[in-house]
Amino acid sequence: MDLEQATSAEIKVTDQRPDHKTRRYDRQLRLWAAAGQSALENAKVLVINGSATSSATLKNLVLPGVGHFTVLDDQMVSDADIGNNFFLEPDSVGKPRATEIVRLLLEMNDSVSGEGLVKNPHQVLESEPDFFTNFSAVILHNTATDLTLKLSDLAWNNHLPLFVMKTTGFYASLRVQLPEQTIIDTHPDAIIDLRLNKPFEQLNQFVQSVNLSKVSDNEYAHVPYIVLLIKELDEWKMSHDGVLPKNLTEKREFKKILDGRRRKGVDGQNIDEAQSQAYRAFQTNDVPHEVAALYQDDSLKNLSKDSSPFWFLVASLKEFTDRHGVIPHPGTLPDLHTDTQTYVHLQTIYKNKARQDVDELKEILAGVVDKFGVSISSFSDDLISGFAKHAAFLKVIKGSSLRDEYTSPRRDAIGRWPPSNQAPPNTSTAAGLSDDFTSSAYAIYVAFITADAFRNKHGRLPGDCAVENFENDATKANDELERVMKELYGAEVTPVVTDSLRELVRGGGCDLPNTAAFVGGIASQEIIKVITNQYIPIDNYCIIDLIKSTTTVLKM
Amino acid sequence: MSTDNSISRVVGDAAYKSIHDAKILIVGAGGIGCELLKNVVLSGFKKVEIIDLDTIDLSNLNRQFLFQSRHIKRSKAVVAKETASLFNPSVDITAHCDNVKDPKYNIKWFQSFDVVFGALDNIDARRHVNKMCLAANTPLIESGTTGYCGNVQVIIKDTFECYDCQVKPTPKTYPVCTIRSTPSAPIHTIVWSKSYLLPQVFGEAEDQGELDKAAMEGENANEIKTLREEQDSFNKVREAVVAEGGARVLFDNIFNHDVKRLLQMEDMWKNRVPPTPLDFEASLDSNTHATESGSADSGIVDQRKLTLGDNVKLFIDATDRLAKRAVSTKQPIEFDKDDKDTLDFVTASSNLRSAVYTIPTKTIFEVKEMAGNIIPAIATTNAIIAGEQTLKAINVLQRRLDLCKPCVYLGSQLTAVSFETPNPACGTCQDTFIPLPVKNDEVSLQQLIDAVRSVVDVYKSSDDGEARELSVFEKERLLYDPDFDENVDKSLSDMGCHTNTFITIVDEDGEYENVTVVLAPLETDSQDKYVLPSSSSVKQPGKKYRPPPPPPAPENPRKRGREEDANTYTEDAQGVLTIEDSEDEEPPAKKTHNETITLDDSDDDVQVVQEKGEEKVTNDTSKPEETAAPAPAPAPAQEAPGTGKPDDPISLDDD
Repeated sequence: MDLEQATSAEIKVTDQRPDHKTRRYDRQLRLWAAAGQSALENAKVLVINGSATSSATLKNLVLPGVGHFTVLDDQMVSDADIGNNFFLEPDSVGKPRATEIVRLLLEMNDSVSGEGLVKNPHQVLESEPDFFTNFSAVILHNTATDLTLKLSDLAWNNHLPLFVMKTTGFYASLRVQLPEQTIIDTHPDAIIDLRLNKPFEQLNQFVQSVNLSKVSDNEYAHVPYIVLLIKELDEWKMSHDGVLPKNLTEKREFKKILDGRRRKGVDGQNIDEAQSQAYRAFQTNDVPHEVAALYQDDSLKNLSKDSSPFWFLVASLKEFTDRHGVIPHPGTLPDLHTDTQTYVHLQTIYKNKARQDVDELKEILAGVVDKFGVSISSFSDDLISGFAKHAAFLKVIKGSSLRDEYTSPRRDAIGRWPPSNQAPPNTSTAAGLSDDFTSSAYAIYVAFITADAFRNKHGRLPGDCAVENFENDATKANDELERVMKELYGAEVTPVVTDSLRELVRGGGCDLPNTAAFVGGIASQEIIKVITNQYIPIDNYCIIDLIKSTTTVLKM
Repeated sequence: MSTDNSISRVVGDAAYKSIHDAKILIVGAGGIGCELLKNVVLSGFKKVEIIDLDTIDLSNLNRQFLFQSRHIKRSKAVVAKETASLFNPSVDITAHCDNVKDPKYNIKWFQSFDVVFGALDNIDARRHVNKMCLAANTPLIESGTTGYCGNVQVIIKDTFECYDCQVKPTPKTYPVCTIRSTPSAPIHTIVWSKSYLLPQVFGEAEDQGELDKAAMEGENANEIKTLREEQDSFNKVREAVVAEGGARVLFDNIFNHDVKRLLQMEDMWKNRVPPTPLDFEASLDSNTHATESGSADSGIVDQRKLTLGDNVKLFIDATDRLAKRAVSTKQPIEFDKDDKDTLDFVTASSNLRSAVYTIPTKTIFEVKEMAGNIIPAIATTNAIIAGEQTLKAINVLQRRLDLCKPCVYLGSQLTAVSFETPNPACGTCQDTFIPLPVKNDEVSLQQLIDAVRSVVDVYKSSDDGEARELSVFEKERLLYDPDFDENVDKSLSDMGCHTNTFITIVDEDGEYENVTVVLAPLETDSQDKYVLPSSSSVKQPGKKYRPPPPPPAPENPRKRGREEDANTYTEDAQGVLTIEDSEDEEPPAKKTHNETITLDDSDDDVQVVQEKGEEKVTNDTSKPEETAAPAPAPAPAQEAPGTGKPDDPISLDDD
């Protein structure tokens, strides 16, 4: 082929160049990859209340390319809105908030569609409850408690993720109400499984093929530490009734033996590595605790043809474990000191093992789904191999409903703080308000619950910006607090919670721009995790204290 | 506007006035900069300057929301100003499309701001802004993000630690011979393509210095000789490549002739797998040596598998594209991760070289990340960090330094970490800085030294009554010491010292900390040659810190680039360090706390993740924090962002 012919391939090559979309989303594709991007582009989110916090949240969903968003709000734009909402213009005053913020948000990304719905959310809920189930996620900001609870029931019953944001001054909270969330790609820091203690056949063969007493000095310097460790561990087990080094003394002794394997005048980088990685040799290579727990999960016990693919995969994984005592190998090999040829060889051994394990898992899966009349074709190869690779890091979040917070409140968490006249005990075991750091997060949580109760009674938030009777409101709010503490948590009011409530009342429901920006960032981050089903989302409260510059995750 | 009312209600009237009157600078109009500009405009700031030298690229639009497709190639600073002004025309925003390191941004300019926001993407510029703010005594609120993580740090001279107080690891470098003749990992061939081949063929004329240096450092002389021959042949290729059929000539030269030349050095390949020269026709038709990752039917083109044949085609095509550009623009071409011609060229040529050396090859997507030091970046993290940064600025303006703890965000939680006082051994913030407006061409070095002596009390005499002996440096360059006085009568400009030059005066006895004079321009109508601050306004240098003898450094046998296998490396390095430090046999059960000092989106740095011990997380308030700046008297409840009462949980936290 001559050059002209060669360059005539140009058209084909041009086809392979990145398209507009890939280049636009390059920096985020490195976080959630093509699968996450496509999930995001297929998602439809609903936001109730076109506030500054809502548009700050939507901004971070429109930019990365969420498929569609709807804003439901029947209010008109006020002067106050213009001042704190970047996605409104001076000309927006008097026009519907919903359509105005949608118009300006859409300017950022023309591949996103958006709709502003100028309707009262309560009425929509009454007249067309099915409207809400068209979405992949529902997001609320500072909605009244009765609406919040009705929507959370609806979301809970329809297995829809719900995100409830509350902001006032420098305090905020984000409640994530998830249906069962099963995550395969949790993005662990590293997936390493060397099988030092349970080398599979091919690995063992490779290890046996290396005869340490016969290799040249140069070869000796390039023996991978994995080989050194497996050999040493074998010898150890032979002289210790098959038991691994178990205590500090034995582990030190093991490392000392490794040290003794150095050859004079030969570079010992691989032996350094063997010593530093020896802790991996002391692990049993059993099934990780969290995975073993999944094998006992009710969702697995109640497996039916309606179960999600995830649970069929777990069922197959369980059978795989029953057969081999381990989970499938992820096929990765960390960087190590050796020559390129050996590295590639070792890499191939692990990769082949991983491939073989995936094939077996797939074969098991075919049998499992067959029993339930489910087709194996709904399980793509990528799904099965991805599942096998991440098997050690699977995560299941069992949601809990907002309704439960009222019907069965976490009295153990809230109620166990010490009476006000006692100093908090300095132990990390005590829950709730007894630990000074988390106590303020629990206190802020209670303050928000109190503010909701206040709003139910008075039709507005305590310390509402428009109302100037701060001390009056503070007193009324304290009355409400006492009632909430007694009725909901069976506990006494303490200074830490009174202070939190006072700060919350001082905030008066104000949607401050920096709080909005911050909460919008936190909320959209969690929404993206849930939509892409990657990384581990918050379960189930994030309490945000921007005076202390901290956020705390609580489970309520 | 009525939000103004609600803000002033929550933050207090005094605080609101301090926001209204403040003049602030935002350095960087990228991911964080856009968020900051929005926040400050919404928060009631009225005088804002923003500086960025960069122009808008398509890959910015997933997070830099003040820009749209129609703004591509325009100045970031200017467009950011335009968009933000539409929102609130009453804010006075000044945009500079410029490098913040330009001497016109001198110490007087930095002194004119009440707060500086750092929103940069590289260590070099961060260090510069850090130093200028320290010298100007202007509070700096530094930030960075990478993927789902970010951090915010308030830097105030003599109060909090500065950016340089903790040493930042330098980017990984590779020995020249590994890159040029004995690569063994994908990163080696990528570095070769990006930093050697591309500049050789399309960049500025080549530099022999690298080889000279390698020869001096005792690298294999024969190898160097061979590499020099290669260099000579390149000079011919440079001319040939822009001509018709040049891509083929280049291919044969680098993947065939040069490889054969290296093969002649037999002793080099005794213990190594020798390279295999590529035959053009055979390679073009080959489906072998495909990238391991990627799949044939990937929805994302950059993630598709590339075979040897694909790489040859891509190489020819990319070389032709670059050659056309070189001919038409007559400009040297530099690597840019978002310039698809250079990215394709680097991908194809590094993969072909990997094929020569039996190294695994990579997809375009992967090469982009490795060659471009790409740091993932999203709107969410930037929003969180910039929101926190703006709150910190308001706290600084109110002198609520107790509320200015550094913050770290790690994917789902923001944590305030302990205050750190300046590192007594820091080479940057321990100096006393003296801003000196001066006529550089009229003032001699001797006059400068005398001037400094006149305002630094401890320089006037030492214990024995003699004038203290001093030496003078500009960076590493010695300008004067008691045995080297040739320069004393030269003017500052004769010695290459101009505006923004830092001239450091060192106590020869090593008793006192350094004094650093920062040159600034003098008002043109000034009668004086220089304007010296009064002795009373100069902070006198403290006693020099004497470090205790350093403990033996823990050995880290595997300091290798994160590029090779990012996840594994980090994990392993942690494992190694933890075990060696603590004699603990198990890996850390809990991930140690990382303070990320991060780069948003830089071309020339690698990500820096700095280890911080868990004990620094200040969830436990039992630890006394003597380092915290004393809080001012509690403000009335309505005026502070905290409730301000002495017994409120916020104040207690720092008592």
